[in-house]
Amino acid sequence: MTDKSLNISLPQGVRDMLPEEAEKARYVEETIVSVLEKNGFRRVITPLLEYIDVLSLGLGAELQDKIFKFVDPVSGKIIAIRPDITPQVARMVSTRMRDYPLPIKLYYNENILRCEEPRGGLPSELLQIGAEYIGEDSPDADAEVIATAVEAIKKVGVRDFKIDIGHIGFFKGILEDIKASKDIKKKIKDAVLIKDNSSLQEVLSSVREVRGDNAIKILSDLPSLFGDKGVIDKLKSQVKNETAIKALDDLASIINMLEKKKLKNYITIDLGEVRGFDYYTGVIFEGFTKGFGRAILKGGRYNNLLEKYGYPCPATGFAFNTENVIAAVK
Amino acid sequence: MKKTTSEHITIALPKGRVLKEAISLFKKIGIKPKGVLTDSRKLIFEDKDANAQFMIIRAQDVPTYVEYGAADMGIVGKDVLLEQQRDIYEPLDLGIGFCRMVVAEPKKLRRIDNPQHWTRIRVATKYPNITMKYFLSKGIQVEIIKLYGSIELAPILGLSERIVDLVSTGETLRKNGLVEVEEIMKVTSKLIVNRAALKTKPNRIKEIIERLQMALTQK
Repeated sequence: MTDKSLNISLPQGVRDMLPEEAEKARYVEETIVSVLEKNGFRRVITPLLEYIDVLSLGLGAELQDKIFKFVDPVSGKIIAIRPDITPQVARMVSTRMRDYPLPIKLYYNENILRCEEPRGGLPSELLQIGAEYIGEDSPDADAEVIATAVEAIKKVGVRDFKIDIGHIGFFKGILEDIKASKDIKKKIKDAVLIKDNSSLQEVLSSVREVRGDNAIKILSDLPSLFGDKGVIDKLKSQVKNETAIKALDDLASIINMLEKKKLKNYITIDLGEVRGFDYYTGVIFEGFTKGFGRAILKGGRYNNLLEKYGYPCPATGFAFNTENVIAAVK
Repeated sequence: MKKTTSEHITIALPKGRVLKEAISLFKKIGIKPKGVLTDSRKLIFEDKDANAQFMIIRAQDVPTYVEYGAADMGIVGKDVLLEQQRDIYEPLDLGIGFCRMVVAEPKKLRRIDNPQHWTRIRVATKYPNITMKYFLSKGIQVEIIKLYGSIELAPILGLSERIVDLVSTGETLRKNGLVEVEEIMKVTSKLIVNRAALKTKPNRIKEIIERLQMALTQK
């Protein structure tokens, strides 16, 4: 019986897991981890706390204002509770693992803390299982990582899911080909981000092209450039920008490799996906399952991250939101 | 009507003034459940031929249902979207349900008031987030009185001097002795889509967006 005279509560955003749910969590964690280990990923454990200036080096703009931080009473320095593990892995590899032969394949299974806007900025604890593939910049590495993610989802028992693949280089490339201020480009990005056709057409009406090579037409089509790989084929003849062409070629070869592994039915394409614009450098992907409104995994290529910790080295990876996977398994 | 094999879709529509226009838009693209406008107690209406259903709920709830995937798509005003800041796609401005969000105050006060001199004001509104952001961006401290309806009453009863609310004809303001001071934004309704629905049923969602877009240009 609860003693009504005591006020035994928890801060918002954190919770207990009772045995029934903890067992389910263990099943999901063990299954995913077994697939990662089978594919050659080795576990690392990173600390709960970091100095904020060290952590911030490797955080995308979207996470910068979601950090839970406090002042260390002894040193007066600001300390952060990690809102993401990938920058920690990047720091670890850059500072301590340079003598490991590349590629380095690592995974983690940790909790993170993020201050989310819908909760009025209060922190919430999330569980993440993630994999990082460090030291190889090739569509092969991207395809391998995506195939590993698919294998893990299947093994866990989630049915009817899709891995949605995009490429940040496509949008970045096309954006090079228009004459527009930083402000206008941000407006274009914000409209593309939420597939807002109406605002996008309005912004684009004031913009001109650098060379007259379809850039505006392609940008204005972006919100509807999703679906199967036909999206890529249809575009090939229209695109003139080199960065964008390279992005389409990368995507085509990744899909080709995934098809060879008989994973075609799990793949969708979305060239209008621009989340993590300043963080990712290449392929980006997210996992969705029918009837569950939010993503169960997110990932992509981040070739500039390790360099921020002093070790120029390409990398790609992904992370499961463990609780969303548990919810999707039912 | 020919039998369709496309995937089932759930559409959340807001009760109230936009509902009629929203339904006639979907009717144009062949989604037309029976009884939506006549049966006011039912909440879900099925169109078996189009393999789609409407859910009729409060406007403020539409983004929630769509973000969590309980509905695949929905229609809702920009006022609600901006107030709530959800993680969803917003593919089309449907141009329906036009109105404006404005700052208003009593006529008597307006005669002697200069908005440029505002440094700290008290405002009654249904939109605390939009109101807060709007005034803070102008460097004005604002004390917000959150109300759920009949905002125009607040200045009359001395709850606040000013209000932020939607106006369409301006008739309600006039009747309550209020005048518009400035416009915060123009409001129309948008089509919104759940992210997972767009990824897992891309063809069906794309088809609906494209057909709605076509229906809009033909208007």
